[in-house]
Amino acid sequence: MTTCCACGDKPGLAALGKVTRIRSFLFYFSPDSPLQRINSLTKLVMVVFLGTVAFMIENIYASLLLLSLVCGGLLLARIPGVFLKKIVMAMSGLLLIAALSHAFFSQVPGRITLFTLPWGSYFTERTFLFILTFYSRFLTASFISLIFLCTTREADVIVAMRFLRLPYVVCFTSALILRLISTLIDGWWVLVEAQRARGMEFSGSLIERMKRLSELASPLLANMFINIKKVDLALQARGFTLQTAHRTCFRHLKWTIYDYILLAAISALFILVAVDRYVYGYFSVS
Amino acid sequence: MNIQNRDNIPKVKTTHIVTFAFCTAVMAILCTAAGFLFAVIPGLPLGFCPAVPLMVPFALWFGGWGVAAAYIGCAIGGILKGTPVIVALPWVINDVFMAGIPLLAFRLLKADPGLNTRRDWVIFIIFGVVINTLIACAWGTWIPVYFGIWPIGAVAVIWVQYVIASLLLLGFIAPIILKGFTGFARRTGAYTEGFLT
Repeated sequence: MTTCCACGDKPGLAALGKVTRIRSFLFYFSPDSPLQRINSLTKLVMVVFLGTVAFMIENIYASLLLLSLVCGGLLLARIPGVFLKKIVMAMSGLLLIAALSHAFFSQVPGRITLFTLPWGSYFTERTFLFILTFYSRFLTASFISLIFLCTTREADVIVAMRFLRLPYVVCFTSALILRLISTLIDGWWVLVEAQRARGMEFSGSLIERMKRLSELASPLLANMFINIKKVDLALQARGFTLQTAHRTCFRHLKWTIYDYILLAAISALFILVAVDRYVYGYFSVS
Repeated sequence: MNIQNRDNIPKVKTTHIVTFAFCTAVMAILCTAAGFLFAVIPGLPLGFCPAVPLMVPFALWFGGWGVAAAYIGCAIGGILKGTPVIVALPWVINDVFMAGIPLLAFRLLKADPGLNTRRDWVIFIIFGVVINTLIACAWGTWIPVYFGIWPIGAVAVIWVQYVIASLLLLGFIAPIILKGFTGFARRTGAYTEGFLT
């Protein structure tokens, strides 16, 4: 039976009625999103190629153009603003350190020197441009990854891996890891709630809260060992072995015209930028 | 010539695969959490990653599976917190050094991860806290320079804070985990005496 992984198993879903949300790696997304029509392998190629292109381009205008294209992709993916805010918050630490280190330790020559530091570093108008370009490149590459994570299901990644003829053990282990990430997070919250029910308070200053949360590390680790045993026994009970060969697959990768168009466009852009950058020297600061 | 019976050679079991998957998932979650820690505690040193004190125990208990879990878990965690794939994959090789160096030392010098003797402690402090931290942090501060995340002039300052954070995490938390949970780990079938089995 051939079912479509990219468009959300339409035959099965039709029988169940209208599906309003599909669970991706990071959140529930709309099945009406145009990016749903693209298969996971195309999206994976997009992440790698466009991520590389983002770091090949050092020119601010080309970099901002690419960023705006990727932001268009974010809009198409219909990622909620609240969610996007959380991800940007997670990146903010690294972005802040990057900006500060460029401000205090870089030596980018320019026409106007705003300040010079005792250790020989100076801040010019081009340092500011340099930081802006870095932000643009970094955010472009991050947002592409985000589009992938927000519009792809765990099962779709495994389907792509099977399509690439990776060994079954690799596909199985990857599926297990992806499943366990959400299971362990749920397990963590169960522990937190259990301790709350026993009267443990997680309020107070941030340091106090972190100290109390760290006290949960021991039961979490103990639970991990217990779960390893349970999962292992379950696998053995089902006769699973590492030598399992020729497994059948319920889902298959489906290619549509959108995949071919997108793959061609991304490959053309990658080749164009690579040739321009390394043969003709375009897109570089120098 | 003494030919070893094939049945006596330790084999990779499903337990190893399951343990590897669990360790990788834990690493991924902790690395993702680190991104949010930086956001809510602005003064936190850069290398302050909650996954670091678990990397060494996982490597010492589960051998190469623990090292692989450190690499893949931190790569997944890095990608989940917004680091571009092309940056995250070479960057987290530092975790291979962080977990791999103590593993090599413990296996070659036949030390016990339970830290029962003074010799075990000395090996742990030299290879599991100091040397691995210095090398891993050197890698962790140089790779971002290549991608333009920070300039070459900032390497020394960032390396120092990376080293301090990692030394604190490894020096205080990893021994507690090793002393407290090595018995537990031994009772799972995944505990390895060698590098993979």
